[in-house]
Amino acid sequence: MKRLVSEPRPDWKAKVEKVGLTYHTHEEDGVKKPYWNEAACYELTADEVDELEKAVHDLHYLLIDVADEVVTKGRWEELAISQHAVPLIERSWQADDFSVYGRFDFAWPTAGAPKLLEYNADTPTGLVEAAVAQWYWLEDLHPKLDQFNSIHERLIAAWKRYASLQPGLQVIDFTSMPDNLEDEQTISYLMDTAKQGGFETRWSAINEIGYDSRNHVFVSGPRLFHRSEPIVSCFKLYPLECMMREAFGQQMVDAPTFWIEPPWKALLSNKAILALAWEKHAGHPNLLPCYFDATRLSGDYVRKPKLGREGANVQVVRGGKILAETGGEYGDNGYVYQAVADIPSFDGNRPVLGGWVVDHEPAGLGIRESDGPITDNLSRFVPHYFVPR
Amino acid sequence: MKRSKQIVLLFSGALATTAIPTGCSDGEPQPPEPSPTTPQLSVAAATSSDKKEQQNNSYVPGLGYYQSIYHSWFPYPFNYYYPDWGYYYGGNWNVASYPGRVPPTSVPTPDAYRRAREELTEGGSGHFSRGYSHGFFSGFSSEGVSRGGFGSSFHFSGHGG
Repeated sequence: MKRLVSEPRPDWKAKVEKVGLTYHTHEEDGVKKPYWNEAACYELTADEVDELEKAVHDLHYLLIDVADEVVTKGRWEELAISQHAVPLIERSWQADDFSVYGRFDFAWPTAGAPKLLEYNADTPTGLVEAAVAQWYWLEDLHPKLDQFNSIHERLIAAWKRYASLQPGLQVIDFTSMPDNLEDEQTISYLMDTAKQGGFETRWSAINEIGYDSRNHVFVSGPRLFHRSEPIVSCFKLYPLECMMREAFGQQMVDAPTFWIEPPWKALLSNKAILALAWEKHAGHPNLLPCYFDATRLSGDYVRKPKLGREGANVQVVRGGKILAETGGEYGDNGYVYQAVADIPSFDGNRPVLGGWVVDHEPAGLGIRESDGPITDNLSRFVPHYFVPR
Repeated sequence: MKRSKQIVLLFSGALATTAIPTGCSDGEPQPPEPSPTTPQLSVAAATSSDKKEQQNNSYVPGLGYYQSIYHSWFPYPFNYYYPDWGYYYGGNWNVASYPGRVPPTSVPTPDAYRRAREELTEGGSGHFSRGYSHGFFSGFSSEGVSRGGFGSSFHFSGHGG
């Protein structure tokens, strides 16, 4: 894999905004910094893409196998899953409820296989840039080259498959937090793909969703012309573990609503699954050693909250000293300790490779790079291509 | 070739300017334009005084799913399955799927038309229940609905998920 300098398209802002990437720049301490960075790009070989694709496929099913052990052996406490959520997850697991997407984050050392850092199995973002913006970038600049990216058509195919699983269902509700540009664009894009998959779509702010206690049913947000309607099936861009511990958490167990991502995905998005995966598959080429106890690791490690997100509350420890640390509000539910991955530096830029899964199959790649050892919410998205054989 | 052959965005204009309103209390959320490939039964057609046939499982916003064998609209699709609840038809959850033959279309009862018009033009006032039998979904009484039970403990702060 190479990092190359690339000439940005003169009108790149307008171009990425047109396809939904309106959050291409972020602001830190009053300074605007690019989030979408097409002044560089990554070039991969076809063999590298094949290897990454295989890793995504293998790890997805490996982690499902580990999750099965959590359910069958009742290892809920190790994942800090509260007892009231267990029936919801078990039911969803047994029914094999439909899952639409997820994103593996990999470090790819200069030598060796890609190493799994974590699995964003519940609410992965970075979708519009990976699925759409970089595809148009490639069409504009390198139309004869290829890209590991069939996310868009796989999403549409996934919704079509969901339609076949739910005969008669015509409407999918979508919900997210209001007033967050990236969330709004992400969920708008997903609604677009669901529409192309044959569904009508309807959005409610998550804090406007209601619960009808007489009928044990969630209902959509208030409408001007219609009364609220039952939520039959709902895509939520909001963490499952938060939903399950909030006021309506118990109602999730009681109501006949299919959630997407489904409750069983809470098993895979939990970083404790990384420790359980290493326990069962120690030595797997795509896994890093990971434990619930830092003393099990002989060398440097990264401490991650079991229920952390966006690189928050991560601590990098080298030689017994804290090398880097991020703030946040996670960690109350415990940590896992993962061996430090060797993320290569390209002139100070450290890429993390996001391998997308759609409907249980590898679907594409999005690369974010950071200056430091922790990929947080201020990382930069850099497009990629690969050279066909 | 590992990349998508073509990417068409139905709401590309809307995506550029945000398709979703920042709140939904001030007005009707503006869903994307209907796809020409997914025709939807119109409210006007559903409440027309003509005795127009309705397709089984056709959906009308505000009314729900039409169940042809019951000649009326319901909150869930016909024969919809949910674990532990069973199969939904005729306003009830049942242990088995509907056993008989289902007509692809039927004409709603006069009472269903009347209630549809009330619901869609006057706002309606009824409710449905898990075990009701009158066979028409006419919204929820606000008395039974609580809101704000989600969304209190998390805010995305940036990219990455």
